[in-house]
Amino acid sequence: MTDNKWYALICLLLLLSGTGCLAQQQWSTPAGFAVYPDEKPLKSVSPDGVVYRVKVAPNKPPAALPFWKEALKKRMLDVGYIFQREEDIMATGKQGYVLELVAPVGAKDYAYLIAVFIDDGDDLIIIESAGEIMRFNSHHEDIISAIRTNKF
Amino acid sequence: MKSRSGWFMEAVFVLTILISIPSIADAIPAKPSAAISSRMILKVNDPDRTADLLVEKAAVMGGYFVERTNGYIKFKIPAGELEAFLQFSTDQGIVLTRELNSADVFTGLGEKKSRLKSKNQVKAQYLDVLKTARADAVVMVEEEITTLVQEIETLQGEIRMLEHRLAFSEVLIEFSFRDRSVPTVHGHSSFPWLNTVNITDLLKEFQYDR
Repeated sequence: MTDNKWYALICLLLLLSGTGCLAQQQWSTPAGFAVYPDEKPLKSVSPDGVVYRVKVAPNKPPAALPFWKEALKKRMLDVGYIFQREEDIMATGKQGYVLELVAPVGAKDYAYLIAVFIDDGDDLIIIESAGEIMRFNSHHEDIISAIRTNKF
Repeated sequence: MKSRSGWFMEAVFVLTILISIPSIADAIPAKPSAAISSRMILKVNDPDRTADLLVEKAAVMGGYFVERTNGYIKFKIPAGELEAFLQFSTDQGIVLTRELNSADVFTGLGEKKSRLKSKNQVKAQYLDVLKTARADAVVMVEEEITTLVQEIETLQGEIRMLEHRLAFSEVLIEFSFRDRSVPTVHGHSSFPWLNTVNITDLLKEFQYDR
């Protein structure tokens, strides 16, 4: 390969990476959480048992975020979760939605956070985190921070 | 000409009507009032310690606790201190749910005060009648007065209770959900991914992980 061809190939790669064609999804985990190595996209857990999971699902039927915000909240409250708070959130430029709920689990009361985003490939990115309320609360800031720094 | 007993029976009839028509003016208090009650579920690390703190705070504010168990504590707090007490409680932990209810006791209280006033007037008139009553009518008047006194005492008790409800707001603080029913695991949403979002499966996946 001539120097010019190498140069052209490097330029092409730079161009592709700049436009996101080679960009990869990068999942963040909350500070102090241990990541399960073979679980994709991401599963992690804190030393005191707060869990964090990222999963991907098809955006079917294709709908925008406001649709899923309403559907998610309605469904979760309909099946018995107790609403605590909700907020719009940005993850590296993409708009998302965070819904925080509480529910009794056994003898304890648990917090349950669900975040949803729509990626460029028309998939839904669903992030869930749960734990006993007081423990969960001590990780809340790190969890939100991890959600904000995901790249997809 | 009516006999003396005829006049007496007429007097009893008129007095009885008076009892049943409360004065409208008396039924309207200077300003409308409502009994306020609040309920919250508060998550804290140490419910006993928090309950002790809340009891101390309530006492400083002129309130008191009326019921205390491991799971909840119920207070009576002076209405003017309610907001400050709720804020203090909120600062002790994480509030999961919070309700504020207002019950109209204005109508009931006004009506009872009006009835009490009427009954007191009737009692005074019976006592006047008693002074001039013939021997055969005295027993009947005394029976009426006895009945009136009982009704007046009952009304006074009910008024005191309503006034207490106005003066002291009820605050119930629970440290955990009393309803322990777990949310439905699998719903019937038209959207498949929504049916996979639930805390039970999420925790189970970690529990039985390899």
